[in-house]
Amino acid sequence: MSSRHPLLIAAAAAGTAALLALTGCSSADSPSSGSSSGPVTITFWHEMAGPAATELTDLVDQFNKQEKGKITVKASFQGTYADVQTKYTASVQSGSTPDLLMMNDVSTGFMVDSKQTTPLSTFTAKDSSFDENTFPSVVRKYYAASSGGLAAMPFSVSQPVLYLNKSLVKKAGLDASKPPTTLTELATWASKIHSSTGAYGMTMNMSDSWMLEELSASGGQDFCTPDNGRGSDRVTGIDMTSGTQVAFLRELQALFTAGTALNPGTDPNVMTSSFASNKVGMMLTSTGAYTTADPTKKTSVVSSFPTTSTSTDAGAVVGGNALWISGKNHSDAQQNAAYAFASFLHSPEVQAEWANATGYLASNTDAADTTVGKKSLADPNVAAMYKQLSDTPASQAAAGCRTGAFPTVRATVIGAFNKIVEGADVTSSMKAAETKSAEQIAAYNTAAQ
Amino acid sequence: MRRSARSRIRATLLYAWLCAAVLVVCFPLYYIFVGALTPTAWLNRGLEGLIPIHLTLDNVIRATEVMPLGRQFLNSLAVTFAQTVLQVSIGIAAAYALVFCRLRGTRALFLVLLSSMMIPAETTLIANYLTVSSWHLIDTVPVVFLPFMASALTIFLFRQAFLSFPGELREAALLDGSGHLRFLFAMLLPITRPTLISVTLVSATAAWNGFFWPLLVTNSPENRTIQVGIAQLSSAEVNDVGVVLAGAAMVTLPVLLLVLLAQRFLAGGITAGALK
Repeated sequence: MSSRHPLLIAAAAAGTAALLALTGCSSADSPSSGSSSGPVTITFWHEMAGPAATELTDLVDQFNKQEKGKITVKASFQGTYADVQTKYTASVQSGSTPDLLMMNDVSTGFMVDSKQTTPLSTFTAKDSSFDENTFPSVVRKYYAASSGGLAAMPFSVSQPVLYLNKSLVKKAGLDASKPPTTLTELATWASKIHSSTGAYGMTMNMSDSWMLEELSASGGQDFCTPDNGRGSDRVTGIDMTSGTQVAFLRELQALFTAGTALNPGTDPNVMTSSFASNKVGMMLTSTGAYTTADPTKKTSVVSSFPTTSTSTDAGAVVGGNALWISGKNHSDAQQNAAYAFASFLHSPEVQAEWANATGYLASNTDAADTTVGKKSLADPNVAAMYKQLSDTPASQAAAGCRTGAFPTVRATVIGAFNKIVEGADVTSSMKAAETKSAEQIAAYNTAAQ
Repeated sequence: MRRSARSRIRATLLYAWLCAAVLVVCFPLYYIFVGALTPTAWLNRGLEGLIPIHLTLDNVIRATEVMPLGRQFLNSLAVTFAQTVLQVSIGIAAAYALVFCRLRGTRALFLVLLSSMMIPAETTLIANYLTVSSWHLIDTVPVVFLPFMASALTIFLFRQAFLSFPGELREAALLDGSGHLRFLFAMLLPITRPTLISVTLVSATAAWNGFFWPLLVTNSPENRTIQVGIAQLSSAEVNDVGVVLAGAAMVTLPVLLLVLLAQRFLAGGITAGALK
């Protein structure tokens, strides 16, 4: 046997491969890059799915029509926020970041650390029509750049609120027009609902530690040290064992171990659908869940997120997403076009439309004066959401933590909380979570520097 | 008499159990296909909405309006076809060389191939991305299947099948003057046909179901596969169940047909190599 034959086979295989690669498909149209003189095309990555995706596509089309011949926005869906973080990391390394990127609230630390973006304040400083006061103050604080002004353009805003099931509350002999305002009152209500109706008294989002961060903030307590990452130093650890936090964790533990509270696991859909089908009396979750929790907008009462202390710093942290303009490897024309599109998305009319279609809150306070905005605010539940947002103080606690290590830390803290609701000791479980989080944050900080 | 009564009871119980099992397995499929054709308003009413009396194509039409699902369906077909054919032909060629060509160091080579199976795909993701990105292939259709042209698992399965091929038959063929290609196509592949078919099916299903890589390397909707397309139909907070199910039905249908047509080979493929 000669060695000719294996070679022949290899050649044949390679030949087939090449042939198939050619016939397989050849529809690669290269994306046109924007030059400084002619029309500019910018790429925009987002994570919106379902009805929000349809609305966003409409807004992009509207902008492209308005800017015909000058700017074309090519929007593309990139999966979940976690998927995008992976993809963005890869695109940073290969120098192919999008001109404009939508990223969620907790990725703010990661985006700042990536050092790929131009702070929004660079553009707003040159834009006389821009008014910083159109943002709710807590939103402005959340996306504040260390150099002053904003780091990114806030787009969608949400906040946690308390949902009450009207019929179950009534059955328990309680008055939904005077909802509980503190977590202790909420616990009393939950027990009453549970004992008199047999339904669960309350439930809350437990897909990650978000609710616990909110309950800390609504007690005026920082979640991260030092200074929630809002000072000059990077976050090095988390705090979950202050007096306020241990007190509310004990209260929640009592509700869960007594069977008064429903543990929805990691799927928020379980939580909203049990609320919508009258299995739970009260629910703590995002304003964004309103349309699924109460499709008819008549069976529930939305009320302010409960406080866990009387501190004047107490307030709920905002969620949602913001638009980041890429700087590195992007021409001035592209960056300006990205800013033009971001400003368009911030306009009162667009914000009112967006809030109405998606269930997010408008990030422009002027949206309330538009026709669409006035119509939405006619619903007392929506009005309650906006009242909470404007009442939230721009305190350090309510601004929330900023660290790029958020995804790993959240998993650690919710893991500890899952043990607590099964009866584990509050202080020691959270102490262990603090130690582990500090290690995770240290690992991130080393990598990010 | 008593014996037959008992066996009749046993048969009845068995059939009752089988019916229950069929129900459990088939209900999700029923839900997908009936849900795809039922307006969301009815689906939200629970079980009564699943009686197939309000059938309409609305959901499917709306799903295709949100995303170019038709185009993405064709992309998925092209990707699946190319990836499967490449994996299988390269798998056959490599396994043939490993088993029959008496090359030096095949054992070590085989171990190297196997070790590539033990590296989680997630760890090579970014490296692969950077490679294809430097070749300027991002956002094209071929890049979706390019890194999966060869698969260690396919080579392994073919190798195991080829090893069980009787040596006498091969010698007889060689004595009769058959070359490598003739032996391969006239004897080896026909005899290992069950492996060939099951490996093809496993490769094709994996190619069709790919999600994260296609999502990572494509940007424009018209270059994406259908799995990525339907991901955008569903959102965590607000769902239009009917539209999501319409997308799910489009994705499930081809795999379902493939599995139904070739299920006896598929089961063989899963245990192939298990008894070696």
